Amino acid sequence: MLDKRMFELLNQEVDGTNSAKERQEVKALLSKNAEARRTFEALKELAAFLKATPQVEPPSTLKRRILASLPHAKPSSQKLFPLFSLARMLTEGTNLRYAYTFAGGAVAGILLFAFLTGSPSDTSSLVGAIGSSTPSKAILSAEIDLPEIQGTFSAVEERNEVIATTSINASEEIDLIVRFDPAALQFERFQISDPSSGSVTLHPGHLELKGSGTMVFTLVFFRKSADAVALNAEILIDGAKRSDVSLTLEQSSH
Amino acid sequence: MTHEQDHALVQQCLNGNQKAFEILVDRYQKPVFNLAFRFTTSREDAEDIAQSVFVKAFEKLSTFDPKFKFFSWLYKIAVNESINFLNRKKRFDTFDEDVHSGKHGQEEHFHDHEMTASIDMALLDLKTEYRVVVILNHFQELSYREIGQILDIHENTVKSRLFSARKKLKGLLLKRGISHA
Repeated sequence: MLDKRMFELLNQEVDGTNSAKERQEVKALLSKNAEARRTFEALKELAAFLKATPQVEPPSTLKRRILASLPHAKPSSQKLFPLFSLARMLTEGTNLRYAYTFAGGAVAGILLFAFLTGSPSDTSSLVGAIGSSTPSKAILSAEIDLPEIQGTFSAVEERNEVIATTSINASEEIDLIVRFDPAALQFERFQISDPSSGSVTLHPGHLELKGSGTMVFTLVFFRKSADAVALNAEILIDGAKRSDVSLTLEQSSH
Repeated sequence: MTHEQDHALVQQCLNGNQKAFEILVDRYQKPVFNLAFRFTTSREDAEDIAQSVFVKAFEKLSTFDPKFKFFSWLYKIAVNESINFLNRKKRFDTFDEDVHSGKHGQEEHFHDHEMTASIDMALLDLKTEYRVVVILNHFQELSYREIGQILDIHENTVKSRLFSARKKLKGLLLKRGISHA
């Protein structure tokens, strides 16, 4: 049985951190102790296995994603972009990927104002881009008009971010499922106008928004693909689908 | 790039030059991503963690003490973020089996090398305190002293944990049929 010191020396030998004197001790130990030899070989092999484990290449979008997340201020500044602050508060308190059931947030800002005051579309299905001369800034919007639910589902692209907003007035409790392709869009953060009105849960490939009354949800995605990307919103009441709208953002020029 | 250059870049960031931070991201995104990946074995999770690490580093840059190496400071944030992530994940995994099973399905496609997969899985079976020293020593190639600085523990504690971790890892790999280890 190897004692603690011998085991340490063998480990340090593998790491190349033994002194000359310790190396001599190891040499002597290995020459007369079969267990020490077996242990030493096993440690060397383990180190070789670990060394041979390939490095993983980060996704090519990681740098852009990191830079897009930085607050637009000097690092010493404490003042953060409001959406960002909220997202940080949430991610520090809970797991962004798996679930949000939370309270917090403020009404969506200029973007929301822009689409609410824009010309509404008149169907509950697909609506194309408005303003083809500036496709990357186009606001897509679909109207939801049911007896118990009225509102809009809209999306706009700003740089590499896709910002989707649902503005809904529902007389009953609804489930709103927003589906997206995770290969094309990375969900980043969201805001809710009134924390008491609803909740958001993130699942792989879709977000589940629940609530009733007047609700404004703003969802922010990072665009990972330059191809056209689709967002789909389904509304369910008591598990039954009542509305299904899709928005397709054009190919990105970025 | 030397540590002095890192320090100069940090100073430039503090003076408002965001481009300098971009250079630091360029240099360290891969080791930070890899560190997070070895903790989680998930590319998506590692991406989230890496993003969070750099955002935190940017926010706290004014607290960086130049008597230390920038990467040690950054790795410290990365280790903390990874451990916090795993703790949160444990809580949520209890409630969200769909997410859990879905994620593992994705990762199966990623591991096309049996040995790598076995090592990753064996690492996951190690206690966090053991896993972290193995990752920092074997995958990030940091010295006992550097690991001690990152984890705020004495060098002797690093050695003790690392050597115990190797013993356990060896046993776990044997269980997984990795012979001779």
